[in-house]
Amino acid sequence: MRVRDIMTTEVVTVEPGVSVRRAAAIMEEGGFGCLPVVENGRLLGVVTSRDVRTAHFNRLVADAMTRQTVVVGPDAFLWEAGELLVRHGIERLLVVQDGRLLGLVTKARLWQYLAQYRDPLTGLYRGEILKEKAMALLKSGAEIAVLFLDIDNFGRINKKYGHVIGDAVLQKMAVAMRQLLDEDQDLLGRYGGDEFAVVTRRRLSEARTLATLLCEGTSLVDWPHGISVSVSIGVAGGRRVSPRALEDVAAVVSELFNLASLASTRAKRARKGVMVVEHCELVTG
Amino acid sequence: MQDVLLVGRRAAIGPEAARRMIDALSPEQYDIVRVEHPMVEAVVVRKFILRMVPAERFIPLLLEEVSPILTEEAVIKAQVRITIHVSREVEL
Repeated sequence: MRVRDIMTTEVVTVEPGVSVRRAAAIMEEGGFGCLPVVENGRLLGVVTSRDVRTAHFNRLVADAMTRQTVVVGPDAFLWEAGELLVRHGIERLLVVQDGRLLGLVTKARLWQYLAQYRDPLTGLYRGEILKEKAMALLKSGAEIAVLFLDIDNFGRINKKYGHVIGDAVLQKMAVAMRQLLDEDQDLLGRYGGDEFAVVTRRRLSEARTLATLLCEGTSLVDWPHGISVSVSIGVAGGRRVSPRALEDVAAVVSELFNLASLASTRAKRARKGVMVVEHCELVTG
Repeated sequence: MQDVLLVGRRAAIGPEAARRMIDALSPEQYDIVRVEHPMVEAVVVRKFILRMVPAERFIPLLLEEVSPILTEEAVIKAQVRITIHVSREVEL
């Protein structure tokens, strides 16, 4: 989902030629914390409640506004907008394309949608956002590898110990994996059911080492009821030297997830723990 | 309108308002130079002065000269006289 899908297009704005007194009245009347300053559709800045408090009320808005504004493009992912809000400590983001104001997205509205990106059981990203983040990494020129992790015989755990214990295993698995990953280069998500995925910036050899570490590390966890839990992991990607073609990133990401998922199934069948896709000649890129 | 207008950071009239006013009176004759100064937000200055002395030389000089009377709320008009002395040796 992109910013344009949730933004509001009915934005109250002011022109640069109105007085600060007038802008303050509009803000008070509408309960706005700030107003975008727009001239002929183009965004010039923002007049904030602080600006109207500190500037002389006779001044033009153009002489009181904050010129450097934090904006986001309409095609940005919601999590990208969320990161901007957090980084700058602001409550709303203006959506701008080619200097023109298209709309506005508030923190509350963004959080409402972003909550759907989190798996409520484990607190991890859902597969959808993991793929979006993988796409953003590829677009930035980084190479990625995907680790697809499947808990062995999870259905049996559910049947033998019940779904409450099964859920506890999933939660503990999420915690254990988080501890084994490096936040700076690995992104962890719950893909669905008993499947987890890691998008990493590590090269293939390091991704393989990480997969082995996850296999070994999660087997040492003190699982509920002393259950023996093991995982099978498939690894794909992480071998590109040059950046991929930008128009193909969605297809590349889907393909990498698919290859890693198939490899994890092969690892499970072969009882090998980790299986690396050795020949992943993608159709695209 | 004088040669220079110094606009205080909390003056009732800001640089953009000054520019609009001046453009109405004498179009295209003045430039606005925004400055990093604790009390002055911008200097509106006649273009021909900046043709003779570049802004990066002129503005610090101006601010130094008017600093004793600057306040954040003030809009100060200033007149600038530039004197050029030419000395030339000629062969007789």
